[in-house]
Amino acid sequence: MGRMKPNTIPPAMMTNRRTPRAPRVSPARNAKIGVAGLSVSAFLALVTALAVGNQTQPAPENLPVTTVPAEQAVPQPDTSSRVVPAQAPGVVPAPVPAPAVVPVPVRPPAVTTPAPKPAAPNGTSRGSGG
Amino acid sequence: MAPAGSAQARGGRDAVRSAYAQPSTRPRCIDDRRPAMGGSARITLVGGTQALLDSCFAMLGDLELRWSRFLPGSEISVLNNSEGRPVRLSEETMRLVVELVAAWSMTGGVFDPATLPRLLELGYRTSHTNPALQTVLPASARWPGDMAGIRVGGSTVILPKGTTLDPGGLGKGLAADMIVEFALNGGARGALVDVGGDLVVAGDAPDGMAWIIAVEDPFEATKEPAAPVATVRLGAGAVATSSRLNRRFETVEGPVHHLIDPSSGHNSTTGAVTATVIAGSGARAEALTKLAFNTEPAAAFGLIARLGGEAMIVPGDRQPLFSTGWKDFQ
Repeated sequence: MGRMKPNTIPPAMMTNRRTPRAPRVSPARNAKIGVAGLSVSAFLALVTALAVGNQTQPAPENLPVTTVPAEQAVPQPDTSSRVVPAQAPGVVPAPVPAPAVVPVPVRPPAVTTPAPKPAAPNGTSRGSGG
Repeated sequence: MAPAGSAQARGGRDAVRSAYAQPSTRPRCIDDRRPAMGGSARITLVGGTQALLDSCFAMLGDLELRWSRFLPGSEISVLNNSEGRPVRLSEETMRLVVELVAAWSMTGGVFDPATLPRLLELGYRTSHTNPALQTVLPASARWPGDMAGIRVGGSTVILPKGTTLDPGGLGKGLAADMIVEFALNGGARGALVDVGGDLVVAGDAPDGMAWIIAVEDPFEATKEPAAPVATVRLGAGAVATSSRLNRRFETVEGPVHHLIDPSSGHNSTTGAVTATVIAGSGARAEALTKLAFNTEPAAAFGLIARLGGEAMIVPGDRQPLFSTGWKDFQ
């Protein structure tokens, strides 16, 4: 029996080399995917479309610029000219009662209790001679 | 926890009731006045016993024996005659020496306990209460002394040769401090000690509120009772007064008093008749009165306040001057 040379492929085999086919999906597997609502072909088409989408990112400088307003001015209601009524129209305020009459004493009241006696000191500091 | 009706619980309630009932059962107040330290001393105890009061006076007598410059055997006399040799002193006298040096340092030398040779030179050599007693100093004694050269270590003191110490008024104030401490440690709830007009108070006052201290009007001192020029209220602290009207004596230069201005060796010329200081201790208050006497009032009030005191100066025109914080004690 003759020995084959290593790493050599007969030319006939090279010319007859077949293009690899896409993996075949068994009908059962296709049926499983179909349960999810997509056929394998539709799924593959979707993946391809997503991949193509990812490869076409525009350069940042070509992206549309979003303009953010520096500060939105919130208008303040102008209250300077607004007149706030003190009370609901039609309500008449009650009159302020007149101050009570304080009788002026004819003479000062008699003192019935003596003024408190100042507390006697407990000691006296005096020139010590020291 | 004890059951509500148990004897232990009843005891607890009784203790609480008795605590709240204190104002109606104020502790007994006892006091006495006796001769001491060249004048008289008055001691008031709130809640103390007669035995404790006697012990306080005995302690004052013991301090006088240790500190009098008129007694040749006192520790101060031995120290003043040591001429540079180390002298072993009692704990009480060590405290006195430390206070004297501290007061000299604190006042920048305005309080100078080393003026004794100058006082003797002017003629204040003999005890006012016992003319038989005279101060004796060695020939080397001189003024000014070397206060910075005093060495204190353990229970031994070395005075530089020529330097002497005069406890003077600071000794009275410190004695009052120590006796108040002794009385409170001995069971009194409050104490007032007046040694020659320097007062120290601590603990409960007789009325349970505040100790009320009058300051004698130097121009009305002969009245009985003495008319006060001011009254202060203290929780604890001291009031000391120095007067140029006391301890006067004749010299060849004319009449002088015992308060020597260390910057000149003569009586102060600031015009103060009396100076009264409120401070945390009797020793501190006494030292600061010399500051009030030997410094112009405005500067003196500032210095005294920085050292923790308040002052009143009565000048010759009889219109007392007060430091800013004095009113807080009225």
